[in-house]
Amino acid sequence: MSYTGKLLRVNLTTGHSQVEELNKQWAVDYIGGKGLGLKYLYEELAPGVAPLSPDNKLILMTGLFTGTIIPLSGKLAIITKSPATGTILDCSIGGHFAAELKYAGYDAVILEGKASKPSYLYIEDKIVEIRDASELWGQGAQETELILREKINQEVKALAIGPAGENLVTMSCITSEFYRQAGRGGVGAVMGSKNLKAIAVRGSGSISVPNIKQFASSMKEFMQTDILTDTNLWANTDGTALLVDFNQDTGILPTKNFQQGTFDDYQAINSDALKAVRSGKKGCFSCALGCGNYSRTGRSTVEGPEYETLALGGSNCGISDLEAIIEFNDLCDNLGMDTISVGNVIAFAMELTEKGIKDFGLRFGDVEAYLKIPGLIAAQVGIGVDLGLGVKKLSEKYGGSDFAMHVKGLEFPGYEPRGSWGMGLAYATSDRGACHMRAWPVAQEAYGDLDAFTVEGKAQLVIELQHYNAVKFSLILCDFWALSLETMGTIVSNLLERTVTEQELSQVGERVVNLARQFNVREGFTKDNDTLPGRIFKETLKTGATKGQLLPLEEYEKMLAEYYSLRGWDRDGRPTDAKLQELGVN
Amino acid sequence: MKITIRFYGPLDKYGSQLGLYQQEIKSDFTLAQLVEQLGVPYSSLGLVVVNSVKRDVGYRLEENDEVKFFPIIAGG
Amino acid sequence: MVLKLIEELCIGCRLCQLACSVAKEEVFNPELARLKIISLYSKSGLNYKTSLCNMCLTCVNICPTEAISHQAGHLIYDQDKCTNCGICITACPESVIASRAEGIALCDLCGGSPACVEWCPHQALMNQEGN
Repeated sequence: MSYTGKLLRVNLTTGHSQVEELNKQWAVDYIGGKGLGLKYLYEELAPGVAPLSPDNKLILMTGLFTGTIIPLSGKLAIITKSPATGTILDCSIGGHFAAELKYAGYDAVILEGKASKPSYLYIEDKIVEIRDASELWGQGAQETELILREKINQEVKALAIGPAGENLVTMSCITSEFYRQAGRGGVGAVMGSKNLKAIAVRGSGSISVPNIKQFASSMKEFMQTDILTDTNLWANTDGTALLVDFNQDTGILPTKNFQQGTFDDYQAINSDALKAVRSGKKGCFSCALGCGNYSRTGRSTVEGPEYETLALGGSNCGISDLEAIIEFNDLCDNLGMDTISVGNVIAFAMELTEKGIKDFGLRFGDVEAYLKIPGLIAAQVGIGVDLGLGVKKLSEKYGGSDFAMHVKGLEFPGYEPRGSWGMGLAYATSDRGACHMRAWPVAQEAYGDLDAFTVEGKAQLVIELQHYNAVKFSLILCDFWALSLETMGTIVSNLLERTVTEQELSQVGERVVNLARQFNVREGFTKDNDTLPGRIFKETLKTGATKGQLLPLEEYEKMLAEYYSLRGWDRDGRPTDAKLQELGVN
Repeated sequence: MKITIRFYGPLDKYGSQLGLYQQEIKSDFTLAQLVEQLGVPYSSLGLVVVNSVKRDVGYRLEENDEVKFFPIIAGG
Repeated sequence: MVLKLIEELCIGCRLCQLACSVAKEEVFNPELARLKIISLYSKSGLNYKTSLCNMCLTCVNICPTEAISHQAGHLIYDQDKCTNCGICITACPESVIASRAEGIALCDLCGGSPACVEWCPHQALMNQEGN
């Protein structure tokens, strides 16, 4: 067992906090992390709540594995209703915060209401205080953390927002340890809407599990035989930047707002180029891999850039100047914004400008103009007001919806679905909009043995991957450990001292996916929202391995219908009563 | 005949550890034979690209081919 | 024998501290570890804060009751001889020695094969010959 069994509920309006027992049955049904956070939000949030109103809640959820010696178990799930999409939103963030929260004695924190003035929450074991944050307000996410360390303790672990979150930008993120983000869907704005600048935690408690020495020794064995292997060590040797070469060669590297799947200057922004400016490495709590590459140039320092930033802030904006991308990354990190969405909205504005639809003064490859945008969006001034709307709302205002690359208002990550048709389905059916972390069939389609350009078998593949990832993010583990469900089952069984099979775990995954879907259905989402921008269905790619490819609409619809049917959902994408009953979701 | 080889990430240890390198191979050689000769376990091998085209191990190598071996990768 | 950290190889995962807390306290709690290695970003770069027994033997020399000795390459603590005076805790230049309800907790290199070294995923932490 490794739950603390305690949940901390903090009402920022009243300043009242209380400790509650964690719902044991829900912990069995949803484990922790993403799943358990979703369950709490689903039960506690009335339908139709405005995401930036005091009625929305922000849930921090650790998991069964958090704080233990299980490698790669350092992540925290953050769950809320998204101001970018109106859907359910869960993000996972690395670093050391989650473990510290658990050592402080809590599995979860539920934040409610809105503080009357800028505040931060301080938790130290049983001490819970809402403190004045007037001197922090307006500071960058990184400065905020430095000030908190200075004021409290060098080893305090913090979550913070930057000016973008304060200004309710719906692409703002939550930051920890300078460079780790709960990036997507505007979690930062939810914190900002609550007048909550930061959450700082110190924990001194211990976590016990049965037969701890034997348990640790089996985990050491897993580390040697299942983690420090050829299958996972790319994260250490290169980190996600390695994907630039993968995606260039498979024709799925988003370029110039997804007009192309290859980038002529890819070698200027790939892992080899990045190694020249690498100056250190850092991992999250209990991570044996260490994917964080610390990069320094004359102008800026950053952990990364990660692949998503290299793609969406690089090739997709036609930018091949690595120093500029690093600066862009650094700006977004400190202002507290998601580089995926910011990169996308810049690329979209570049195309709107070049097509003469709306002149933002932005052109593909124009480094100078590109570097001004993060500051304008975060401060909500000039064209930053428009660009801060995100791709969906910007297209509703000025046009260009066919090449507004988003699903449900969340901008595309860095994988071209015309070169990985299952990825298209994964984007369209992901619970929070276009996301690569709910299912990533790219590995099987673009890189693996499956035919990327067919819908055959893809619905089933995406379903299995969605269940797998839902379990992983509920345990909670980092997605860079490519472990089997069977291995997950072994570890869970050892902790809970009862046999948990891979089938049971997979069913937890299915339960989580269905609950998330129910949340979105309750919010009014239908089949019409499970779609992709027109570009994917109408325009063929012109270069590389995906030359001549599009995803035919009728094929897509066939795949989507099959997906609903295999899921036991009706033709409009609603989970049937029978399915919900089978899973115990109500 | 001469080909160019590049191993990525943790697979570099099966190559020159210098990035791109050239190697002399017999003519009429398949990717499978090359993989075997280089001692790369199949369980470690992800994407294989020859001249920017994804290939399976049955591919027959040609003079001046550029072969890239990528590791298996999860997440993104 | 002495613990040695190569910072360039360390990713700051704290598995070493977890391994120590399991080996010595039978719980997961990095704060209870008999070493500390953390890496923190600041505006000037990635900084390491470490606290490792470097076998300076200050504790051995200062202990008034010979409760701490150095034998076979590592420290040995004899709780029966310890009077809980706390001098070693104050004197330890690396702040590795901690007080416990009964006596003290120090790094004895797990008797020769330290759990922290065994766990280090990137061989950043080593148990070197000599002191």
